[in-house]
Amino acid sequence: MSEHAVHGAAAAGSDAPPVTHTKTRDRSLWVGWVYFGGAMMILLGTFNLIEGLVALFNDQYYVATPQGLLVFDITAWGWIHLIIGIAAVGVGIGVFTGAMWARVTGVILCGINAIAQLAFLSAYPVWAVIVIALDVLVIWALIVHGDEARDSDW
Amino acid sequence: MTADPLADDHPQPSNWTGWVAFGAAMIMLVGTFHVIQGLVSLLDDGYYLTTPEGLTVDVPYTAIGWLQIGLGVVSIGVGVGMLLGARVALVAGVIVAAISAIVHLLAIAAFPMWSVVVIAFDVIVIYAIATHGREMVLLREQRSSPYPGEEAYIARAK
Repeated sequence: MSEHAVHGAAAAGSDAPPVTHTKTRDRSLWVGWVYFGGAMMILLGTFNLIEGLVALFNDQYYVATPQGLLVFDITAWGWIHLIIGIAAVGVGIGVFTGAMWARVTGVILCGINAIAQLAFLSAYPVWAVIVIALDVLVIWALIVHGDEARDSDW
Repeated sequence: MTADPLADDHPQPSNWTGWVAFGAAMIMLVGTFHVIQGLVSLLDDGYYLTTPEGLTVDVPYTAIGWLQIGLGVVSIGVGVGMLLGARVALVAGVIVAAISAIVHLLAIAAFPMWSVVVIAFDVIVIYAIATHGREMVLLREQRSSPYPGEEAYIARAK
């Protein structure tokens, strides 16, 4: 009812545009990006899990460059990817609840993951680049549309 | 149309200032990449695919390493400044990101994938600042004074 009243006033050419109301409406339109960020986080967590399991059980699969890995051995990387993967899936599910902690943790986790993938890149460049791209996508969705998640009803 | 004479003096920040925060996160991530790459250049240049002779410009890896560490530290500082909405940090962000992209283009032969990732991040940073940087400055000014430009308007009205 009050919504109609505000729209009516705006359409009638009132010189007091309903700024606050418009903002709220814009925000709710874009909140889907937060769901997308959560979904992408679960996907990249799964990628990380696969990377980790391959590192632990089938390390011959990786492209061994003559220079080898930058830091750590392949088993250590396996555990790192496994832990980040499990955490990312958990936090990704948390993002769907609209919780602030999940968005903050998600951004930090994806930043750490991007750095880890950069260091691990020589083992399987294409995988690492895809996961870095997903990390950036998640960080974008959670930061740029985090406000809308905060102001929305869940 | 609104007949508010103050409208021109009161450009409003949009809901997209989050882009600047995203750009800040990206430039800090790029900064971390630079520091890591700088350390590799200084300590483990055998990790790279080519010797300095294979690069576009034949510069020793030690020099590139220090340049990268310097750029990295500056990038992280600029990222913090961007979050605070400092105009100087927004300008510096574009310049630092452009320098970073050029350095990585010249040194791309050392580790192509790293350079490609960093150049992509630099482009994101420049886009974020160029399109939404001004709104971040407006937001900051609004926080300190609810009516930026008010004094100028009153002076003109007199």
